[in-house]
Amino acid sequence: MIAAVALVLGLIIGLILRPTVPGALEPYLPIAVVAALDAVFGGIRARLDGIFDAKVFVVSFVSNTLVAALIVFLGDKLGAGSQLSTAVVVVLGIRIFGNAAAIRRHIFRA
Amino acid sequence: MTGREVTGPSGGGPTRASTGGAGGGPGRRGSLLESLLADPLDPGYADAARRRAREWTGSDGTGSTDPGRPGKSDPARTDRILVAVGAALIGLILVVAYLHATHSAPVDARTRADLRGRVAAAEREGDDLDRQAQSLAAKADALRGAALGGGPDAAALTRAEAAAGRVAVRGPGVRVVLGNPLPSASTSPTGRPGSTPIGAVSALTDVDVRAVVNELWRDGAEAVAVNGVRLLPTSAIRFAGEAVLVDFRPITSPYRIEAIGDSDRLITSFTDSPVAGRYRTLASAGGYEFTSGQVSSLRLPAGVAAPVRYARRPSTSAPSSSAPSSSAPSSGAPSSSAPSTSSPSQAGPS
Repeated sequence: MIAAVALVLGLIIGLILRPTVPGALEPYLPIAVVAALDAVFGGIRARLDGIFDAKVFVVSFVSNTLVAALIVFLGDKLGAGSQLSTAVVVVLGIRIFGNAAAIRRHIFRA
Repeated sequence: MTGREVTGPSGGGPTRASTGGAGGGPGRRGSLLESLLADPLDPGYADAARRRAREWTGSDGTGSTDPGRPGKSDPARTDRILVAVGAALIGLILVVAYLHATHSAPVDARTRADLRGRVAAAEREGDDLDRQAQSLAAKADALRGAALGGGPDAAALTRAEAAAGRVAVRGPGVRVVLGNPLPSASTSPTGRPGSTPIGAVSALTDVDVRAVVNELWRDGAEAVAVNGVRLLPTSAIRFAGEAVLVDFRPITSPYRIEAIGDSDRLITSFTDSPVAGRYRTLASAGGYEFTSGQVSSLRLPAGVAAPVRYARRPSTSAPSSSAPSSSAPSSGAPSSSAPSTSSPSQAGPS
């Protein structure tokens, strides 16, 4: 409940403040979005499984975002930025799908 | 390292059962992709749940539940704050990304569409003005012809106007076609294996068009047009991006250079010229298109002359008095035709 309220609060804050993304951080925005979605779905699934843990939720979100950003940064420096960000998106995307499927099984029993 | 195979010493209850069900079995751990597909949940949740379960059972074992209560309420609050901060952060990221995407993508598209529309409008406007200028020039010519009444002056004027490209001309001439090699044209018979044909690495530019045009002028052409754009004494053939510009009008690859003049002399001089020899060589080696031939009757359109700018001496005399003095030798014609009648003398066929 608190998480949902806070999520909406974050959305509203973003809509009000309308922060501009500096050009240097632009390549990391999609990665951050995917990591955020992964954290959200993972958190919901853990909640439904009854094993939700706030620390794990926040720490995994932050660390996933940072590691993904690091991978993309390294890839940029190595000249393989797009491939590595694809890898990050694929891995996190698979996790999102798996968690979404688990949530679906929990909710619809199907 | 998930540590999924660890079965706690004591029964963990429903929590453990569910994680065990998701894991499937200890043998799954080997394949990275398999574990990724089978167990998408962050292993940290299972670990934390197991740890908590162990703490519970541990506290149950010692039998002291009271220290657990106050110790548990504090983490609950920090947990709530943590969740709230994390969720707010996630929401912020999502909305920022959304705003960024909706902001930047349509801006790009809008800018492109706007630019394209403006270019099209400018081209239309330019064509309209062209037509208007030509009709006005024709009217002015008719009026001037009536005023001059036909004589040596009128004949000289007609000749000068033809040289200046102000009127459409018709007559025998030559046509030179210069074209880039087709991208699919294979030049394998002449190219050794491993060598790149010339056409694949270099295309025709303004230099090539200009060389042919200049050669035609030298051979005695009286009027030249490139792809239907009449060359004036002030015309420039330039290169911008991928296109050759003739008087800032872009033209593309089969460059059709038409020249009116003594066609026999033109074709013989041109064929003998080193310029033609160069492009003949290129045509045989690189697949370029290069043809030249006489045409019995060519019609070249009139060009629209840009206003001629005169140099002025700012120090010795006032600019208002110098401007009329420089256009004075235009033999009393209307002022709009003054630049064009004075230009052929300075830049006749070179």
